[in-house]
Amino acid sequence: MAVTWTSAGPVPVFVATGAGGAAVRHALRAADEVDLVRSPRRACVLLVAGDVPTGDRSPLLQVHDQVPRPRGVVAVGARGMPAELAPITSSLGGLVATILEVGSQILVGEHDSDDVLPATNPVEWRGVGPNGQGGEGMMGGVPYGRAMAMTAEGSDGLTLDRLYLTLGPWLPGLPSGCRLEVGLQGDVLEEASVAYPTTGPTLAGQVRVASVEQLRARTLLGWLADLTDTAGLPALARRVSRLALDPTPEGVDAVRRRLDRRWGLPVATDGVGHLERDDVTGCGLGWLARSRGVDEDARRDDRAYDGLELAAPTDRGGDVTGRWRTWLDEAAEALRLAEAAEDRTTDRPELPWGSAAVTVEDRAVAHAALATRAVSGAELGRAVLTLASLPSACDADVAASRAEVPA
Amino acid sequence: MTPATLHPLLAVVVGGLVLAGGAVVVGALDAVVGAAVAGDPRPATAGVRAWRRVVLAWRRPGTVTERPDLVLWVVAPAAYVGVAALALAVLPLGDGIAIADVRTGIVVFGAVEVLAMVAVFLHGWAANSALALVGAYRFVAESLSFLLLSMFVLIAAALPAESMAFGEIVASQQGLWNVVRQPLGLPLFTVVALGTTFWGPLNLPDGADIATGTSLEVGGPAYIAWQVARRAMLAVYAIATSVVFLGGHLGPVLPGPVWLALKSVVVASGFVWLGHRVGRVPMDRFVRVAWTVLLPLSFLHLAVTGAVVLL
Amino acid sequence: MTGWPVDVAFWVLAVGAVWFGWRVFRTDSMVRATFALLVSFLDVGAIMVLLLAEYLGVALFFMMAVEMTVMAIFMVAYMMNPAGLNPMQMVHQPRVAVVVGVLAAAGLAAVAWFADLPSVALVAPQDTIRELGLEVMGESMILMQTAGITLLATMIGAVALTAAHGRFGEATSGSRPPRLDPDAEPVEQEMARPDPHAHHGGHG
Repeated sequence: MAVTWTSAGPVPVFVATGAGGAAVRHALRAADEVDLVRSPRRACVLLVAGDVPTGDRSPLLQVHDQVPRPRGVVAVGARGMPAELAPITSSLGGLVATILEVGSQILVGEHDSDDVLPATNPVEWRGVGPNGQGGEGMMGGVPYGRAMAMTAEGSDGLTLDRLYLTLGPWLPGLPSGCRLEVGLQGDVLEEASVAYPTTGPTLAGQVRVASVEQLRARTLLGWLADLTDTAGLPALARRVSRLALDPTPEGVDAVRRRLDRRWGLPVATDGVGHLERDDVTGCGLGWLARSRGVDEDARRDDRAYDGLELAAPTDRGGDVTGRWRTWLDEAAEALRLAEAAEDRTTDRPELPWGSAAVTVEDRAVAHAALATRAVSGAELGRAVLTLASLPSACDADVAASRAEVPA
Repeated sequence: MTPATLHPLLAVVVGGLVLAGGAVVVGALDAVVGAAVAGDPRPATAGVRAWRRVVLAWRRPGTVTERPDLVLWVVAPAAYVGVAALALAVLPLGDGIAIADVRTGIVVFGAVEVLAMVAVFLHGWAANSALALVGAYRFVAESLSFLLLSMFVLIAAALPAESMAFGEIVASQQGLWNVVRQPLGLPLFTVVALGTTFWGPLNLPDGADIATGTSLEVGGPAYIAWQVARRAMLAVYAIATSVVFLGGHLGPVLPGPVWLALKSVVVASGFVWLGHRVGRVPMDRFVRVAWTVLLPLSFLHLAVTGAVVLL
Repeated sequence: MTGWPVDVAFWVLAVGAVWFGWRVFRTDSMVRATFALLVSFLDVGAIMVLLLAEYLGVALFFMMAVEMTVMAIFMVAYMMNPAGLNPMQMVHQPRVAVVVGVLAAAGLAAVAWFADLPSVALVAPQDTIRELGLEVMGESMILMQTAGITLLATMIGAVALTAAHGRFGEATSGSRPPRLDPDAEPVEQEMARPDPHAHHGGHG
């Protein structure tokens, strides 16, 4: 009785989002029967959504082992899953039902997934000193293969312990596939290096203008939902996620009214992650340049957009607030264009996440350089929020729009 | 005057009931307000869903990280709820009803805030995890910034009462509630309440930007214990706000405890609503604002209150 | 306060205070040492509450908790081995420390044993807080006011020193010495790069 009652409760799911899996996250956030948790240790089911790049496979195995047993693994549209995990594959449509079924089986103990990595430490404690100390006297050393933090001078002259960490690629809050390698002193990033995935979804061939603009609206609103969640407003993030699944102009206005209040989202994002105009010009990320008023837009020269009025970009300020206001503006405009575009097609679309004229690798490199400059020397919370405001192509869901492309 | 006290056994029962009941009420309010803000079609059922979520999480096993400090990990939520109980003990729940309405009530309350800071630090420290530790020392920096605020606000409330006991503070509001004659007090105390329970805009130790910080490595019953402790503390702060600013158990027709309960529920709803409405303040901005704006404001508040009392 | 519950509480707290004080020196973890010291202080504060010095006892909780937490932060930020992963010697000059410790314990024990302490049950003084207030604002006013202003100045000074923005610009931008020619641009000077492999003074 207790089992069936709790099995009707929301199943806690940790979503490991790979390339192109963002729509899954939004669908689950909006759903009642599923709880998205921010830590694998509170999850019942590990959901892998989107493609898994090669380098991210072993971190995924670590995340899998952090989910307490009994646990289940479900995969949606995930190419490149590591062979050790035996996921239950599902389509986006039947996802919630699959998760509920797996969840209830786990609760009665009928389903489990074994540990993938060994539970014992592969590296021994290696002592140097007479009492087994690790390194220089009572400091330092490499206990169990992990380097102890040693002191280093900080930017304000204090000599604090500096911790070298890699955050990502599966950390909720960071864009999918993004790694942030830091030298952390206190909570200030004295050294930082960002890496974005060099593969990602693309749109090739002739695509309908309406599809591209719909994709743009869904993508930008999806980014906004994730940013809102990371900024400490999970309830509003649900509202935005619901809108991102099915955007409407009235919905965008309603969301803008709720978020863009003086004591609302801007409290978290004002003044965070400032980028200069020069930094964003020519970076290959169209929307980012447009957020600073720089008119880099392939749509202006595209014959397919003749007669459709494109608004001139305004400088919204270089901080995170400016960027998400740009997302709302562009989403609203994209919906209007999708309405008016009817059957036009184009072969050089202005992608929601950047310019199609730049290759994926070049864009990733430029993106990473920009992000590194924005987060170096910042405090950790600001750095994560800044990265959440600089998502890549992997945070868009292209599969859905590809289905609408004429053959 | 001799402070009012309940028989020890009765005190334990009453305290336990109030804490547990308060945690449940705050949890239900949080779920319902969250669902309303999220635009869910039936916000009222969110409370049931939240309860089911708790039961399910309770049945899941917790996990242990590598070489954690297990003793401190277990002590932390227990200490947090313990100090919440200590704070509840010094608050008057009705006319002459209090678990231990000591003469130094506001100092005990201040000590509770500090010990809560220690408990959260230990919670983040014990997990042997980098982001958890970041959450822990963020909370220390945040906490030190609003501790002084709380002391000045409570002292200002104690001035008209000429006593540091909460019972006397309530009695001094017979004519006029403190929220009216000390207007700066309630906003400043709200900052303290949200800070000590690290709720909403001040959720820096368990923030989503560090993937829930001190709670990152916590799952299963330990997580439920932590969340219940936080909600219990928020309930205690709602009661404290009602006692210090809204006249506590004073009110016409209805019995004292009922008035206190009503006022506390209103205050708790306010806290919960703020949590869902205001984004998380960046760490350094909060520290800067707390030391350069809020602290001088609280000095001013205290000075003005003192002047008014003397004149 | 009298009665067997008070006596039991006193003995439990006293033994606890001593035991946790001993634990400070037996643990390898600086953070555990700090919090063991905190528990020892809290026990002493609780004893003061039992002795009906309520205000002082609770103020002790307050102050010691903040001090120990700040100390714990300093341990994590600056000192080696906050977690105790390396074995550690907690005292400098161990022999001297043992001698001094034994002497101090003997001296205090002698004072406690041979002094003529009153054995009258405490009656709750009605107005300890009032008495404290009169003392602070009457007899010791100069002392308290001086201490208060000094503390305030220290706090403001510390905040000013650590603020990221000073009178002459951001703290993170290095100073640039002027050139001999007064109209020329100051020298481009890069800030000293931190060397992650440099060792700073430790304990052998």
